[in-house]
Amino acid sequence: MINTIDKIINKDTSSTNYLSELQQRIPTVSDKALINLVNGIQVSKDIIRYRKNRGFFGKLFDKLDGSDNKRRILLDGNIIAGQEALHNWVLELTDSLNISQVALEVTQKSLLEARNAIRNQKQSLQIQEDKLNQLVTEINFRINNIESRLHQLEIRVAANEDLDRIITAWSAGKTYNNLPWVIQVALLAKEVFSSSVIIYELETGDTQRFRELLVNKIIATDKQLPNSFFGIGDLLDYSSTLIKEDDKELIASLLEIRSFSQQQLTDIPHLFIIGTTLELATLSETAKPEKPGQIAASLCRNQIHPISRTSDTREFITAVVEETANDCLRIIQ
Amino acid sequence: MKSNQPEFGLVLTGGGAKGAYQAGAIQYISELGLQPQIIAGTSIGALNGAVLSSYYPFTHAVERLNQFWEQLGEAEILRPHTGALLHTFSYAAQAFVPRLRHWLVDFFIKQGLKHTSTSIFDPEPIEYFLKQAVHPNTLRKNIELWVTVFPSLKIPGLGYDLLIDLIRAKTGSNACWLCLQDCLDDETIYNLLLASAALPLAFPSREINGQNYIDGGLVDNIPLKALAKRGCKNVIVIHLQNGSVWDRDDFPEQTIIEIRPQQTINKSEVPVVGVVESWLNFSSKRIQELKQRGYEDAKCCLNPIIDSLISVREYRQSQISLIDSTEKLLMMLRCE
Repeated sequence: MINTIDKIINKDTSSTNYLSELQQRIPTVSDKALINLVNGIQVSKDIIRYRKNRGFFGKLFDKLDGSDNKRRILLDGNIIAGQEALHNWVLELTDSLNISQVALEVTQKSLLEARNAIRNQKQSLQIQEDKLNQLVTEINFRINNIESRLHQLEIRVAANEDLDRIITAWSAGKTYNNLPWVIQVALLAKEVFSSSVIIYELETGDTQRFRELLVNKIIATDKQLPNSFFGIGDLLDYSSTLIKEDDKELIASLLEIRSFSQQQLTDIPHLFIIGTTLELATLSETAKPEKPGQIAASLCRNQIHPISRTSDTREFITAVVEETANDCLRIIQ
Repeated sequence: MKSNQPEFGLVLTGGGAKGAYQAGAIQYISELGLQPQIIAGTSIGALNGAVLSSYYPFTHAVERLNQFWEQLGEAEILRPHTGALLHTFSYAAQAFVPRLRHWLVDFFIKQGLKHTSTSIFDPEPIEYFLKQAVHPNTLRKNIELWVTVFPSLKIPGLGYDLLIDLIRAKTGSNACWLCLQDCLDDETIYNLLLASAALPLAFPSREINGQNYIDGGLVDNIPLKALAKRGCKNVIVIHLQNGSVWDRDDFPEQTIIEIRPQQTINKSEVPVVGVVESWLNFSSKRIQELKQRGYEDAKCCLNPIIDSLISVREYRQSQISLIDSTEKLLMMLRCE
């Protein structure tokens, strides 16, 4: 059987309709033979019934006219015809069954092959799925990375735009005009680090880029800045005299020195000095000291931080910018 | 109307009043949707065939055949006045003892039981019913009908005509098969039908074109040869006799189904008497009973055959489907 199947499946088999050809070669029992078989049974039953029911004279009469013998011959003929039909039918069934078995074997073999193919396909699909998952993870990572970079870029662009806008407005004299440069620097730093710049620093952790940029822009823009060293107390005393009385209180409240704790004040000594100078300068004439800047500097050195007595422009501006930026960062965190 | 190659035909045997059995069997054949293109009949089978050929479609013709038999039963056209025994005795006596025959016939005429000296029964009622039920014009255009008649040898002055005919029948004289569609005039058609049913002594012989004919059942009660000569391959034979000695193998080219009575169809098993009495009993009750038995027997005969053929064809079809699907599978495997 297996050899037959292999032969059938083998590509060398000349005909593609091998099974059909086999089936066609099987001699089939004709409808006539089948009808004779079934109807012959009924005819035989009729004759047997007739012979059984005949009475004595009937039997005698049938024997005399020879019909009884004819009936017997008819019965025998029916039996033989029936046996022949059955024999042919059995042959047809057996041959058909053989072909059916071959067909079933082919089907079974195909099913086994199909099962193996499905299994292999499944494994291949599993590998592909794993690779796909890996790819998805990698792509997700890259997308997240790109999104993160994009976000940082957006923040950076926003910070740049805000810085440009603030510096442009300041350099055009639209903001903090008529104020001494020390105050301008303090307020400018406060404004810059209350904008998207502080978000940039918070998100990226880069606390250097914009601080340096701001310091350089201030130095590059403001032509009033002194070229030499100066005493911090003297600078503040001089500056306080340049501020109008109405502005002093406003500026002092903007710098908010009084709301800081003692611990926090240690981080903003220069802002403390500026704020304290302005507060002392806003006192009544009777209470107001002659040199509020010197006093503020002394208070700072005694109670908060031992800052140097003298400084230059870059150092002072850098200190103010750093302290303001750190303070804003602390608040937003 | 003669068909070029009739595929399916009916053979209706003779048997007198037992012909009602055929009406019932044909009823079931019609219900199966079978419609013969050709019919061959002997005696009462010829009359049944003539009624079937006179109406269209076949289902309607079958209805009319059943009505025809109901009318025969109600009319009591052949019910003997003096009982079946008298007829049986008379029949036998007339057939075999010529002197007694003359005496009996004269006696019946004198007693008013018989009107002519040529037959026991008056053929007029059956002629009347035949003309009511059979329409030659329709018959010529409808199912091809062959009837069996036996040419009677009438020798003037010799009273042994029946005996001579019987001897001729037993010694090999052939019956004639005549196609009613070949008859040009209506009278010939009626005469042929009456000749086919002219049971010797019971009814008078019929003269057609100078030849006397009587019931063809004397020689060929199952006229399948007529259909075989016309090339008809599929035939249903409806017998009106138990244990009929007839061999289908005599017709190797034809596929034949025989519907045989499954119970005793004669009223009595007494030889000759039982047969004659069954031939002549046209009572309504008997006709109804025979029709019912014919219907049931046809059902019992045909259903197993149909079931077997369907079963075998379904098996072969499923085998072909299996092979077909397997070959498709093989084709796919080879393509890979």
